[in-house]
Amino acid sequence: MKFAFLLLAPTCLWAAEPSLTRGPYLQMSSTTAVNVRWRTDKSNKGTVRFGVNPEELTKTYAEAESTTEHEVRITGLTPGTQFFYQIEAGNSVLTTPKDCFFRTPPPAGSTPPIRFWVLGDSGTADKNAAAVRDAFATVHAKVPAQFMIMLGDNAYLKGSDEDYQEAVFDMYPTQLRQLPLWSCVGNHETYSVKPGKNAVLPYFAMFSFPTKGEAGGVPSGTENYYSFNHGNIHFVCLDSMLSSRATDGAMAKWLQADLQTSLQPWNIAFFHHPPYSKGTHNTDVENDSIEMRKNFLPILEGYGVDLVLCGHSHVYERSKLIDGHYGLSPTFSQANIRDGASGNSETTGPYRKAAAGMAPHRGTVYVVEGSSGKTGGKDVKLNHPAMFVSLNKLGSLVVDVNKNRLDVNMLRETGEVDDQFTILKGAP
Amino acid sequence: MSLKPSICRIGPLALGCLISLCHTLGAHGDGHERILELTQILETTPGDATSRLARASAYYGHSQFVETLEDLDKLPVEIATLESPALLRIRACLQVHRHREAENLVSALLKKQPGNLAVLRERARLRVFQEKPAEALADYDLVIAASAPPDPDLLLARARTAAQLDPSAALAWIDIQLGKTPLVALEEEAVSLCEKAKNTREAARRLDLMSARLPRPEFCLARKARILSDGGFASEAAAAWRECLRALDKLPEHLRSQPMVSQLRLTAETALQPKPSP
Repeated sequence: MKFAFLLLAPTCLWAAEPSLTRGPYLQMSSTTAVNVRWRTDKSNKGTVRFGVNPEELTKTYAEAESTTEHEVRITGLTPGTQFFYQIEAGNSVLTTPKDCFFRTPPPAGSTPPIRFWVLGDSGTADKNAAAVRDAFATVHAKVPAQFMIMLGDNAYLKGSDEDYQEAVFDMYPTQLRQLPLWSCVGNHETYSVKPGKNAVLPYFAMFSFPTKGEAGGVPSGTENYYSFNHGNIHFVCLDSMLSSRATDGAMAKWLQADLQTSLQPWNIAFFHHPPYSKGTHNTDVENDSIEMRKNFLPILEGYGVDLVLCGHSHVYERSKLIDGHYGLSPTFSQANIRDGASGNSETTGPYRKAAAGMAPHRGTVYVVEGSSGKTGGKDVKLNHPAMFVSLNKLGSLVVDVNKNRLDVNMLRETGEVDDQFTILKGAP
Repeated sequence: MSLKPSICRIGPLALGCLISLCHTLGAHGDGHERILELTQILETTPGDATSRLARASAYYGHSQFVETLEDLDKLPVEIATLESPALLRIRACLQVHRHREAENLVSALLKKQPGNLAVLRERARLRVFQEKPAEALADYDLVIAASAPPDPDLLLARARTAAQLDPSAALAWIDIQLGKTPLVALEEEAVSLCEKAKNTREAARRLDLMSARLPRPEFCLARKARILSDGGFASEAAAAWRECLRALDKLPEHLRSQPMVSQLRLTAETALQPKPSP
């Protein structure tokens, strides 16, 4: 009996060690703080050890309570600095700093080059999503991105915890360890609450987004919509699915206050339902898109938002530099076009906005990137008159902002760039 | 996936999941084309409950509330009385002012699930439509107390309902909420309530509190100046315009040249110019 115990003991001890089942992943990144989240198979008090030198992680944050759903907010970080980290559970090291690192956003108002990655409707958990990811990984290896944005429908079919495990956490493990993730809620994020449970959606349970202006901007009081700053860019995330889209609703009131007080020269908005699309969704007939266009675009354009990113329609569509189109597509006219050329820096030249900062109604580019997991099949029309480019191809966006220049590249799953445009602000 | 009426034989939990999945399937593709697609399915298999419910949901998404209700009418009662379809029917009923029917549905659902927040929230909306603000407040309070954190739209709806009964009590309640979470929509609502009540000084005080928290207070200060001016407080309005100009001066260079900032500066300077004597 004693012998049997001795034989079993090491196995039991080994089995008692928690192991990672999700993450780590990075959330709510600000110039001085970031949330590190991860999941383990067994409950334990986790620790994040971190520092600027991967060989010498000098600081630690430890959890007070045992849990399997871990979240630690690391504060007191230096802006614009690369940090390395590792996750520990008791004496076990669950990750190493070799592939766990992040860069804090640069100080507010400073203008170092910024790159970020944008995925829309990527939640297919299949070879399409993997190809889009791998194309980005090649680009990222040359010039790294600093954070990533998901435009909703991140995990098909129901946005359940299991769907997310497969389509997000198992699909982008390396990216999630290194790039803080921001996201907006899509329709598929809302399909997994069981009737009568009054439950929180898995999306909101697994992600942490600012409610109190933790990363800049006006506090929204909700994770459904929020804003954050990164260098000289102010980002606004809207909820086109669950929150009121009325002009007197809480989100519209907040948006107005938030944009009115933005200090950044660049302002970018993102939400799931596109205001303009003739892809797998037709924005002339769908309420969510119609209401976003009618009620929110006047606010966004009125405060000079430069770029709007959406998903939902499983295609890539990119508008000209436009303004003031809030009706159905047949009413789009020349009067709505501020610059009808390509905006391509190599051909017709970039779009130019004369004012250096935020200026109302000087033109906005609208991008639908809903093809990071699947495309629209053979019957998509792709004929919205606001669009300069419409493609029924897989891809994601790589966005670069460098001082007064913003470049957007539509990166195909093949590694090719199928569309590129530039916006320049201020005097040439 | 096509689910035949035999669905009625399976348990309620599985049914709930299937309905949720049906909602999911209903969300694919162009909504209008999806309706046509579902119509074709229903022409050949009118008893296909999943397609029927998906089309009802799609119709609702297109603001076709009568069609939504017509499809819901054709569902087997075992499905129609489940939470998801019943909530859809309540929402559609509210849109077309079939309040008595909504009332019956709400009562039936709450009998089965007394604490269901989604249903309580719909009942609050129903009470607002029925011009019973006191009863609506009771439901809103139940939902707010059970939500962490409460949805800002819910708080705003509660504040607006309370203001119908007693604007002062609504303001007091807003202040309690703001003590928990500063919410710009509620702050704005409070300012609007003060404006409506011609309580100019209180509106100005609240705008001071808001502007103190904002990274750029100039637009808030301009609003304060306009409210004071409209209320006949000329010297205080002038002070607010001067404060606004000082805030504009403190902006970083790239913001000072913004057209909307230049416009605001012009407005403030014009307001401060001495008025010609009559």
